Amino acid sequence: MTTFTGALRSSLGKKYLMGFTGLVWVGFAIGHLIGNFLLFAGREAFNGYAYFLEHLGHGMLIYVAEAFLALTILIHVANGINVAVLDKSAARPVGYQVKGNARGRTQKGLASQTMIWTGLTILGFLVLHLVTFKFAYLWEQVPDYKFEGTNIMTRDLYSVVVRRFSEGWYVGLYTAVMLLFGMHLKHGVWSAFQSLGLLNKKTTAPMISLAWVVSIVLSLGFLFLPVTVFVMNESFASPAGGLHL
Amino acid sequence: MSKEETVAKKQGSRYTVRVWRQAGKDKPGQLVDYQVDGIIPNMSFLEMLDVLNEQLTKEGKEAIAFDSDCREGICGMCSLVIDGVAHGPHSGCTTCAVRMRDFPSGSTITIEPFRAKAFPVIKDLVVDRSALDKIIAAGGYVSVNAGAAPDANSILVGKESADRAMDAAACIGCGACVAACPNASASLFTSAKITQLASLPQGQPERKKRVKAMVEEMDRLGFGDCSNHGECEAVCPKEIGINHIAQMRRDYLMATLAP
Repeated sequence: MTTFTGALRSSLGKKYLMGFTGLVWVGFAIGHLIGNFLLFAGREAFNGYAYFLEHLGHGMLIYVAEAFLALTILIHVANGINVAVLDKSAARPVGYQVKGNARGRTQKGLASQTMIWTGLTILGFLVLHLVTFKFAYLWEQVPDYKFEGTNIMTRDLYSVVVRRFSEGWYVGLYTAVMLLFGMHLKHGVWSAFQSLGLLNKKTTAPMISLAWVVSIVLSLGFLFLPVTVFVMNESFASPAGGLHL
Repeated sequence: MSKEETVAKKQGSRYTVRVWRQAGKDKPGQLVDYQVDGIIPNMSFLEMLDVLNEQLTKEGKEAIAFDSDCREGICGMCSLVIDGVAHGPHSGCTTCAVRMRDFPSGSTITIEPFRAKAFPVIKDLVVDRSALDKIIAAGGYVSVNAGAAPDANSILVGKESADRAMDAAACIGCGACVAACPNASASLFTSAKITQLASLPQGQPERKKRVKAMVEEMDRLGFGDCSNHGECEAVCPKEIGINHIAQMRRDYLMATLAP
């Protein structure tokens, strides 16, 4: 008798895990993007949001959330490598000499065939992203910030972000990776729903269109920030921060 | 050469055909170039191969082995990956129904066998697709008493369910889905065989047992993982949709969560 945990090891189980963990991270990315837009509101708002997240549930909730995100991405990456590298060559040891794409209702394309490469690039970027922002205080001087009208002190994460986004190479890299991130989502988002068995004949096509929208919004949304901070650096670097036109 | 043949030769086109030649199972193989003349546009792809084989036989060479049977697109016997696409460039049809008018005169056509670990090459373009039969043998049938002939009129089936079952039942088991899948997954075939029965009242008593047995047999036979490329649906001669794959995933999840 197959149990649920046994089923997770089957070829279909890999899809359930891949789809679920992918959607967890899409959800996180949406929340992250909304949070990021507080950069436009200024130093007080952005640092206040970071302070709020760090102190949710007596400062415990963020660790729970981080552990959950770490676990899900670990499953996502391990599964992805397993499917795209190991299982793929095992199931077709001798490949085709001529490769072609069928016309019509296929979703096979650049995005679907490069999931492993866009995925690994995003993973590498994620590590860099954590080192340069979240763990910046471990290796570089991060100024303190005192909230207006209070005695509460916190790290000035806002200044870390604005300083980093004033560097052209970092903004360029960030933009390139966000475009690859969009490509990953273009196939990933609808695919997650299909993998979880949530689509049918009527909903497949609208979901593919929705995945396009999500990938464009997230990709452009994330790269809009660093580009704006880079171009309007004077406004963002002012004591109050934020965007003043 | 008869008069008819002479006319055909005059009118017909010439193609360079690159065919995978392999003497037997586990033997080395390679693509070999052949020139074939006298191909008229309305010939089917397999007729073009027949012409080439006649030519090879006359030259004292060994004919190319390929599968075919009904040659009217319903038996699932013909296969072939033509220029990288299973069943060739024309969507919604089998190789036998592809016409030579789809290929510009004078062009080079590459023909390879269906490739998958579960589909070993027997000779040239012939592969062993009995793995698909094994998936069906694992549970693709109704073994409980589903009633006698009069019950067909008393057990009502809704239009949507009947249509879904019919769509899935159109599968001829050719294996193009496996051949076209970048991961050599048999998800479309297996899901069609599962949802065909899962959509009908007669399939309900064994529904959970069936989906588990067939999915696990599919994995055991060495087919790959699905990555939702949807290439299977695009090459399927019966245009079976990947919505059946989603249905299979729902059923398998439910069967393991609530056995």
